Amino acid sequence: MEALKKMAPLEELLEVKTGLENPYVRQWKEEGKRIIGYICTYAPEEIIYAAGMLPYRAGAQGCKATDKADIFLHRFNCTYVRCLLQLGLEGKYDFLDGFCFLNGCEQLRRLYDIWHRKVPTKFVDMLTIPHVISERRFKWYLDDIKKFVEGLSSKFGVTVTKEKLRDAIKVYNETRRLMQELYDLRKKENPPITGSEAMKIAIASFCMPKHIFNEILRKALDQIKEREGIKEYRARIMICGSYMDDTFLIDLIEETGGIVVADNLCFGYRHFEGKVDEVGDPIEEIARRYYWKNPCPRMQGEFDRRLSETIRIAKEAKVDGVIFERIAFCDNHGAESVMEAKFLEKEGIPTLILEREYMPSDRGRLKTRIQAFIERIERRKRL
Amino acid sequence: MKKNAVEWFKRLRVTCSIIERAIEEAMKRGIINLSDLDVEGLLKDADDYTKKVAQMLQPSTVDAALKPKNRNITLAFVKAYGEYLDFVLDGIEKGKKLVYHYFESIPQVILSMDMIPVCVETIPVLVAALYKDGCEEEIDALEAEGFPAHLCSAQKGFVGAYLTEKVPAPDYFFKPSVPCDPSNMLFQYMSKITGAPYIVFDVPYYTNERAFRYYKEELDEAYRKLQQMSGQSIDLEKLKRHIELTNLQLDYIYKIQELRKHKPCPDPGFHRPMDFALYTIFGFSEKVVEYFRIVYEEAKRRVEKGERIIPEDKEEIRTLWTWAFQGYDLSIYHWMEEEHGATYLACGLTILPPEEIGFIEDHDLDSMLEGLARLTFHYPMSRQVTSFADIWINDFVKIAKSHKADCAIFSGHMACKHGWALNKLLSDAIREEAGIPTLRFEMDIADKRFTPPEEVKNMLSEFFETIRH
Repeated sequence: MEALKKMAPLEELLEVKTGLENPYVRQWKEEGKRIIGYICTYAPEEIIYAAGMLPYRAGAQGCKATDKADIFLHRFNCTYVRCLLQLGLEGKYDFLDGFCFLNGCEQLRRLYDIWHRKVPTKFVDMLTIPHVISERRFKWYLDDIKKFVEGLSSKFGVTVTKEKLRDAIKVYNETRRLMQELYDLRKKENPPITGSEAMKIAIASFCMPKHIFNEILRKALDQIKEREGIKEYRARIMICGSYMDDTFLIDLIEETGGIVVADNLCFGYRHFEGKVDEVGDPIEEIARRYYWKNPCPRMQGEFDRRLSETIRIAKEAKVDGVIFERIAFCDNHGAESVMEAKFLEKEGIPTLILEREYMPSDRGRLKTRIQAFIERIERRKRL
Repeated sequence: MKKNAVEWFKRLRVTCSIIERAIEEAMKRGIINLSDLDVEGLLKDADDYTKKVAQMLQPSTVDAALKPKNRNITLAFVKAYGEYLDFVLDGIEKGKKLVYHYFESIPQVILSMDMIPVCVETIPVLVAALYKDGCEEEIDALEAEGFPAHLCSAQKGFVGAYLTEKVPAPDYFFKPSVPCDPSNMLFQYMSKITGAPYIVFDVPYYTNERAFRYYKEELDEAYRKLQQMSGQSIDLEKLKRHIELTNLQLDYIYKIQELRKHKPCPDPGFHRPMDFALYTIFGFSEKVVEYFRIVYEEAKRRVEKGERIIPEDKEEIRTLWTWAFQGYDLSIYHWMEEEHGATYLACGLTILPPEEIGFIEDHDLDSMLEGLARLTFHYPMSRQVTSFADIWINDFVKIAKSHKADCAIFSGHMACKHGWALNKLLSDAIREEAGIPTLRFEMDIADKRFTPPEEVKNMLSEFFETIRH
């Protein structure tokens, strides 16, 4: 903690580690406070925060092999889910006091079934969200969130008051505002920050208390604004697709001369866009924001909305091309990437679809394809 | 896409006729092997298209269909499904509205609205089962667009058939929001490229009464939407008739399920994929009911007379298929019985729990919709797959015990990620609670290239050997 405090704010965010190597997580535990893991962007963090607990988005960075997880899962299951279970079975998530699962996709929902049987965790809950967005269906999600609150309260003897919820909303809205400010800076012709750095900041936001994150990001933004913008790049790239919580692919793009200036990822833009209304009933407003936000492909009948959102972001950031990354065996993004790419190409936006594993690997193939894509963009610019 | 792109429906219709003639001829002449049947003579007066389709047929499937234990039922199947295909072709010809639906969205209400329901998943599975080249060209056509191979062949084949002009664009798509991501994505893609509206109803993650009420409301709303969009309404008398047929069908299905508890199992495994296909036209016609009546009567007769579907010298191995059947070589079920004495008790695509579904009341529209909703809520895939693992596990442990299964077979369709994520929990529970082992193998339900039939046979043979010893 002390070492981090000596760093400049931006550098501090860029260095934040995950799990117990993260000093904020360690300190939180040392203070006797609880940490609740979650995996999906439809999990309402504010509720956990208002319960006095740290919401921690459980990634699986650093997982190198899935031998333990593969006893329960299969090669047809995506490597993110397998890696996450592997870390759970290895005890790397023993620092969590609870876990909030969601029926985000078929594989994540089954992870709940295995986790609560095989990974000792004090509190494991499954929050369910409809696959269709409408006012009538919203009530189901709201009721499920209320049950989640009851579960947390009865398990840990905490009270989630309206006042605490309102405070949490303010903190999280501020995070959203600051992240939007960061993302706006990336839209500049000479962005003062790389895509890789922006991703690291997003990662930091998921594994530290948001009020501390906000304080540091506020100062980091001042630092970023003072930077000279990046002039030397071959192509402005937007990245979309499957769950991604590391910078491996973005680093490859940027090593190849691209600069990632925008995304439509659940670990990036999709997570922080759209604020919670601070006036109405706090639980309902929190639920409303999560339910109605820019939807994940698991939401049915929303393709046109997702596509227009991708196009809007691409145009605002003046991107030269969009890269869709999909983790092998991710059905939602596997199909969504092809569907969106078809329509983006019709809009005159070049696209590339990359299939990858969750763990950083296959560097040579990926780099070759990125290189060819950037060359395609450059040829197009010359015409 | 032209409305006259009906090659798949036409081909399947002609196939039903060819098989019907082949079985009738075999019965007349006492033939039980395809090699003894004069196919050329049988088709000498047929048109060129029929001859071409006959050339496309998988000989092993037709051969299995000619076996005495299979032929009456196969004959009833081709008559029932042939009648349905006539209805589809005639309806398209007359310009009736075409609804492509997911397989658990059974068709009674759509039929009562004077529209043509077509289950997207059934057609590619039948094409894979019946023809040497299956639906491989169509799967490849879809994958050539960039879609990943790990999506479901039952939808990939159908979208590919649309892309290659073998099925027409529908007027509507009708689907529950679950159980799987591949079907959700490919239905939306079809809707996007055909321009036909996608009517989706949400399915909750639980199976309790609160969830059922939500589900019923969703289904009612979806039917309301279909009526509003089409301008066609539910004909109560028609619906009542389809409900009556549905109840008759259910009655036989429940009785057949009971009969399969007998040792040795009196019902051949070759029929399960046909059961599945006719579930997707539940309550369509008397001929569909007749199929299930014959399955029941034959099984009952075998129980009463002590007749066996396996050779006299074979000791029975009772297999419980805890997930799907493999759909591209139906002769495997006959081979299992003949070579290994292995019978097929039940599978995840055909079980219906009578204690949850019961029968459908027909006092008024709401009682009929309520009963149908309860049927689809507990339908194969809908019940086990949608929700928590406990339901799937408990259902199959219960069946393993009640049916006195000797072993389980998890024939895992590669697209079913939810199934593969559960296979170990399921196999462990079945071993611990029912005391039987599980063979787990990978396959693609409608694409033999993934795990060729000979490979499936090798795996099954090795497994049965270990069971015997």
